[in-house]
Amino acid sequence: MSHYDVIVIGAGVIGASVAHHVATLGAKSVLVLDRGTIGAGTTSQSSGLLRTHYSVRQNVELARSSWHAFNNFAAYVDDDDASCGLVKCGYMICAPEGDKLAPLQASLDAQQGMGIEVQLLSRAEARERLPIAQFDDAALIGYEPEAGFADAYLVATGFARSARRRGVKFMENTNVTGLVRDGRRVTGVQTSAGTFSCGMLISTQNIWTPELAGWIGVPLPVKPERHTVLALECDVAPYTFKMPAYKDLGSPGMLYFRSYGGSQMLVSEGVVGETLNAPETEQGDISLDYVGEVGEQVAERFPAYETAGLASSWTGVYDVTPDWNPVLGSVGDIEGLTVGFGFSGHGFKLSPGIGKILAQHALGQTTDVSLSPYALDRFASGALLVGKYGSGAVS
Amino acid sequence: MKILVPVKRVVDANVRVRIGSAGGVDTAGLKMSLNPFDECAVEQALRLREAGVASCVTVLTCGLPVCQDVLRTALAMGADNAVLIDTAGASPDSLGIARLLHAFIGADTDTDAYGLVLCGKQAIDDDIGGVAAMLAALLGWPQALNASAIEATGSSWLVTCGDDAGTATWRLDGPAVVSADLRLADPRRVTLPSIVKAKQKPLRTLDAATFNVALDTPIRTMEIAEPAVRQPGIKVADTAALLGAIGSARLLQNVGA
Repeated sequence: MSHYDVIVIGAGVIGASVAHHVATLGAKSVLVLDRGTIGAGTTSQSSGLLRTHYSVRQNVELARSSWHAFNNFAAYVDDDDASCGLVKCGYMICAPEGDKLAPLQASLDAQQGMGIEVQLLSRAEARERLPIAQFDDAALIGYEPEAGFADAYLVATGFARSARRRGVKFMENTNVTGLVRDGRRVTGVQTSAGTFSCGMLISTQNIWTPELAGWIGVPLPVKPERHTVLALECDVAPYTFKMPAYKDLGSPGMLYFRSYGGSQMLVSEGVVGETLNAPETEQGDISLDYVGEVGEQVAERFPAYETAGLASSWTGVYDVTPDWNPVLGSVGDIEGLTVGFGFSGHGFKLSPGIGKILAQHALGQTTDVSLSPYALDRFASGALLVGKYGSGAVS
Repeated sequence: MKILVPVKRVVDANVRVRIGSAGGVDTAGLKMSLNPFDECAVEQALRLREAGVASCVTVLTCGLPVCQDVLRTALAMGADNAVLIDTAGASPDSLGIARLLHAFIGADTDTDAYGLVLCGKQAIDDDIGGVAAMLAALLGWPQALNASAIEATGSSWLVTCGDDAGTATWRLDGPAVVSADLRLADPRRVTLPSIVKAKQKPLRTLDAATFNVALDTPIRTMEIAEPAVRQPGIKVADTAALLGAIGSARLLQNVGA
């Protein structure tokens, strides 16, 4: 039976980032197992937005260190050829008078307090940056210049390539079927390709985390939730790469927008999606009625899009926890196990930072950001990490 | 002259189909779409109407009420009206569908008659591609399959069809059945206002039983299986080993035969 210092289950963007970080932080032998192929699960469905705007302070810290990694990706993974596909277009967030105004003000204040560059824009300044939108009802407009979007699949494969260069072994199309235990300690994994022993197991199983819950007998609250993304095309009002990504807290669906391919608009709802009975990443059905409903909301903000065409549409799946924030660290009284799950739609933007702190925790090192707010027992103690905007990925 | 475009609701081309616990292909909750070849046919029919060749484009599908969603897509693209022939519990094969279409056209008493049936060359789910030819036979109309271009000339259709053997242009006199390949016409995008407008357009539901045609099929499904899992490749050290591996796998045995 082969032995590894660290075994990682799941080669999505989080698992690949963990692999890169455990290798750079000193693990001698590392194995990554994935049921499919690197980055092919929920990672490949990410809209890829990058921002540091969060109402939960710990997330701001992680997003800030992650942004640094994305903004200097080649240097971060020490590979001149590496790219994360970053489009640094900035991020604009806007609220009308009403219940979203105070949380937005507080979040922007908190960001500024943490030294993050956030500008408050007048309606005219907002129109200048995003001329295809109207801001007549905007009461508060925040703008982060150091933000934009990137390609989650490129990041996953970039981290994986870096990890491989450092000796990490990846086994794709390999199913983990159970754990090897010595009392409370996890000592290995059983897989479709045999049994492997390890000093530390890191689970980054995303929507498949309930399998782990079954193996260790500890309930892990996470549900797969499907969200729909539309790409709209409007010849007279192209959404260019120069225009910022945009979050509309005033729309019923709390829509987010960004350029798609330099001319189309990518738009999706930032509210609760469709809970699935079982974890799967297959494309879900998208009704024309739904397209019409979202289109109506889009046209409120982007008047020319009233006549937009539907260029394409797809679905992606979030691993959602009850408070829409991840669980990081150890669980229950299980030794030799570190988990990271429940990223609830904001895993990609935090993936470099999360990968690092999970690696640090697994290797017994001091973590850059405290894991205690992300502990599993918060669901029992009630110390939830609920964002100021309620349920949804903006958190 | 009216154009009839028979369409089919299929599992979306981007979905990896799986076999469910019931033994059939599991499509529950998965993305469903208007068959891509039928989309080309709808587009070409709309262009013929817009060019003044046709007065009206009717889209039709046979199946359960859930299939109305692809009719709505076609209406949003611009079709004038839609018909669902509700087949209830029956699962007609290609011939059954052709019989229903034949009966539907035969029952049409409108003075403005159907002058063209334009459909996709095949559905991407079963890939049979039988309906167009069967329908042409039942109607006694000329047919042109796998069309990449169509043009109206007087009372005839000039249809360009291509396959691996080359390209042929046929002249079909009078009403005809033509099936579309992907080159026939690039489908337009559904726009947001057209989705709203499509809701106002007529969508009739007809009971398949009223057509009094045989829908039973002599075809029996023996087994449905996942494709064989592709075996991983091998790595060889050098060119000599590569030639040896190719030789022992007999990969080139038919070359030059």
